[in-house]
Amino acid sequence: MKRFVTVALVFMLVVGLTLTAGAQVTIRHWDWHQPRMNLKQKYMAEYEKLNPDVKFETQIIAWDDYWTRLMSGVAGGDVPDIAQFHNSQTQAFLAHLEAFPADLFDYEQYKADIINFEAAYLFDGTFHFYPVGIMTGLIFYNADYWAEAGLTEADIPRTWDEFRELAKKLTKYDANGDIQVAGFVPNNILGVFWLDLHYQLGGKLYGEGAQTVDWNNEAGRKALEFIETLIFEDRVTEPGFLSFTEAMGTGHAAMVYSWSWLGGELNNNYPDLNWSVFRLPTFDGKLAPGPIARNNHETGMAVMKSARPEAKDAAFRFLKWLYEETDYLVEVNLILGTAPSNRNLLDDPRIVSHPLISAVAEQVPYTNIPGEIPYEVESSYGLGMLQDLLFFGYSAAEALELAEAEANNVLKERPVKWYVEDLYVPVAE
Amino acid sequence: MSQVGKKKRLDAKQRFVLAVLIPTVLFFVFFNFVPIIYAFYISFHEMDFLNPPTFVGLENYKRLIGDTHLYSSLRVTAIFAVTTVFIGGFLAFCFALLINSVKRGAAVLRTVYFLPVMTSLVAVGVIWGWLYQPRFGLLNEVLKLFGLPRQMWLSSPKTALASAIAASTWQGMGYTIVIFLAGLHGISRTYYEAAEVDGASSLQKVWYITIPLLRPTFVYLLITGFITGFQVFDQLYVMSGPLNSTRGFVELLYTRAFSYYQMGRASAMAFLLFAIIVTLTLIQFRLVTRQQVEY
Amino acid sequence: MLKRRILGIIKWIILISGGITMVFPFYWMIITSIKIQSEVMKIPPVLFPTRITFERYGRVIGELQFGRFFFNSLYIAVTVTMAVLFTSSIVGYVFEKFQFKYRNTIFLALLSTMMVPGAVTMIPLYLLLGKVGLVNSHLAIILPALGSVFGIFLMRQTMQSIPNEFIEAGRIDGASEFAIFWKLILPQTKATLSALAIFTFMGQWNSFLWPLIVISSQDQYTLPLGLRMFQGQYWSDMGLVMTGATISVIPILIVFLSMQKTFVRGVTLTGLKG
Repeated sequence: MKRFVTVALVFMLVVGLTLTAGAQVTIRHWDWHQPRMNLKQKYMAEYEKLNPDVKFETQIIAWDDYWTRLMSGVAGGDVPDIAQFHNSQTQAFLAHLEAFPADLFDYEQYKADIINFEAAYLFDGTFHFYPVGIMTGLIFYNADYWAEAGLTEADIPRTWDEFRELAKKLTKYDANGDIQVAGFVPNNILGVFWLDLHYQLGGKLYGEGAQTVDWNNEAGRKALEFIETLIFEDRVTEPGFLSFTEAMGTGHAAMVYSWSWLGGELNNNYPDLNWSVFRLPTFDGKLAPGPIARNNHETGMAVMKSARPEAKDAAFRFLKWLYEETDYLVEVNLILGTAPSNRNLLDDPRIVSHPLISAVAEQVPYTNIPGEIPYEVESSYGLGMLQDLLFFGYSAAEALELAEAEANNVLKERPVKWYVEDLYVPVAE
Repeated sequence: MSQVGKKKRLDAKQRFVLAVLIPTVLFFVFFNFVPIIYAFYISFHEMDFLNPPTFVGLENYKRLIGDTHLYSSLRVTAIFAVTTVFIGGFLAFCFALLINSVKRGAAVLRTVYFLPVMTSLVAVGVIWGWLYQPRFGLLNEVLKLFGLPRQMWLSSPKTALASAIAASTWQGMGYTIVIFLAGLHGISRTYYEAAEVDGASSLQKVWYITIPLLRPTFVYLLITGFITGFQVFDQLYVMSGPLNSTRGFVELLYTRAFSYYQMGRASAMAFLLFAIIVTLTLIQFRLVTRQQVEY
Repeated sequence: MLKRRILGIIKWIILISGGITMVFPFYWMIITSIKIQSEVMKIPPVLFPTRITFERYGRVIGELQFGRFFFNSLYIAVTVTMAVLFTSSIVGYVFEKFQFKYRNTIFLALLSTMMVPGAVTMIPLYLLLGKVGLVNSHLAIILPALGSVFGIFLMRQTMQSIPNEFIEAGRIDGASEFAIFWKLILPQTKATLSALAIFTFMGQWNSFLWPLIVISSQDQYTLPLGLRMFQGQYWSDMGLVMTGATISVIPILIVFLSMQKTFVRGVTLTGLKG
């Protein structure tokens, strides 16, 4: 009897093991960005070939709904195993992301290789979403208009004064005096542009401890007054003009301010446009000691805590494999218009020869990451309001006061916990 | 035999009633009553999708006071409701009178004026957004034709709400016209004939005959206009102006609930909206019935 | 007499310019959608294009999924309309023609929910549907719309005018209760039913806020959601956006034009509001 039981148990164990070993794991994955998903799918197909027991199921969900969907998914149990992540959502989701296991991922190596790793990714000693690339604000220009005006690469401005003259020179008016081609369009991104100028003049996004923002000060006012001059004195753009993306795409702008993702947009939507890019000018023409702009990290994927246990392990193994593929990391950065977070990849010939990404890479060491910026502060209140306030007749001081009050209102309700603005180390000349 | 038959028939009737009634009651309990009660519960809690709800008492209601965003959204909503009801109603009344007075082509005119009513508010917002476009939009070209200065329309906080209201009025006027026309058809010719014998002018006829007799129509349009006007969302959301200049009450509620995950706070707002609508409706009923007594 | 004539002319000028204002935005929408690219954003605007193209339609319907959105909208609106016609009429019939305990209490309780703004139930309903895993499916739109208090109210009113003898006659003939309703009663309410059908169909076809809340995957989008997405994504290509607008607007306008008498009667009967 005893023997029979033992045999039966062993038999069941063996059967059980073979069954589990042969069992398929389906890893569900969500992303909001189609081009990146297309690339991932290519690698997933390859991984499926290498690991026949793993299958992927992918879904695109529009950015506008992505976080609500993920949030309700966590609550209702309908979540992907691997979710594409973005660090503007750190605070809301951190508790629901699985930490990358130290036995698979070499933390010490990451600390050495990845720019800002400790500031941007480590929370309580662990990281929960993979570092992929860094973005920052640049000036994009229409190379045809540039050539038409007899300008060459040697004319790339280094100071804002030079930039002003250039913008004026490139603006074209029609017979009524309306702007036909704007010399410089910061429309619809003016608050974000202002923040970079604010940094250049010694300002900061947050006050002490990120309880409030710190904008209505001398640096902030000077920065906003500079923009005011561009618009109302130099008339290189005007209120109600097309947005920066629209103006650039449709040939109604000679130069626009944008974050580097615009490169991908322009290539996708306006393949005929002849454009190029240069790093931000500064007030004194120098990069050091910085910061001369804000940066942010384009993060990779995260594994959800509420994912099915059998998929979690497989998910991390896949991520380990994928993120060791140098080709993937380079290609995804090329698609996103970001500089690789991994220092070792900055020398990759595909990165070096890419005009946009090399400009990002040139500027990135002089940029700062403030930590989390709640979405509302960036797009609807605060920074998002600055443009409207300025366009509709408020003085720089009044506009900053109002925007600051709105942003502080948001911060009171949604306190920022991830705050690393003060970690910036000035770069020696 | 007949006794048994009667009893049997009663059973069949009861069965039929129950077969219809039980699912009906269950349906409305689940989709109306439970949500209303649940909303009430949520409004006393701090609640997002992720964390278990925590009881906060009246906190969500207290926060309604002194909430500047809420005030500004109420202002937008009230302006929208009042202008669409009164200005839109006045225009529709004039057009209804004109259409009613033509002998031929009334049906065609009615159809034409009704076309925008069939259009979804999102489409209306998208089409008018294009007409209003400050740079390439057609409306500024029309202004130019008359030598008028270029306007910012939806791109300026000063004109955005008015522009959105104008587009909404364009969309909704045909509906109001049709309601007025139905009312006008119900007025017997004999009233006008009698007035004509007395030598009344057209305006006098409108003032002394049409308007008093259309009273029920006015009351209906006023009350339903305010109820829908205060719940406006689509148009203002699609035709959004800068600095929250067109952000109405329901949009603020939607944003708080589904972008900021402040379910409790948004539910408290929903009950405020409920209270506002009930109060307004009661006041209107009061005014209407009191006036009737004075007649 | 002359004064009368002048007034008549002024009246027609007002009516016709009003009519042009009503129609012109549609003309502009369609014409923008078929202009060649270089004429879409041109100053001064091209009122009468010399060359036209239908290329965008293929792209918008196929690649940009508007065909899908159209089908989704149609399927949801038709399902809901059918269901509402059936549930409203049978429930209205039961409330009007049968005596039972608590009849008026239940009816009043139902009517009272009409006072509650949609904003109140929107959040809890979303959470409840999320709990049963129905969020981001068409069922989340269809299920809550299957019954309509307004429809029940309207059908009950209509049933009042049907004499009770009809029902009794049916019973004497030995017809089942359902057969009496289906074969004898329902055909007599056609006028109201068509009005209710229009009201319900339009409401679903144009509905925006609730789908915006519960639907998140693009392949589940209805037309208003698709159009809204278009407005955000293709701002710079008005030709494309107007193509999407035309696809969502024109079919319903054609339906309206072909049966506008029924529509207008329906509006006055139900107080339909777009």
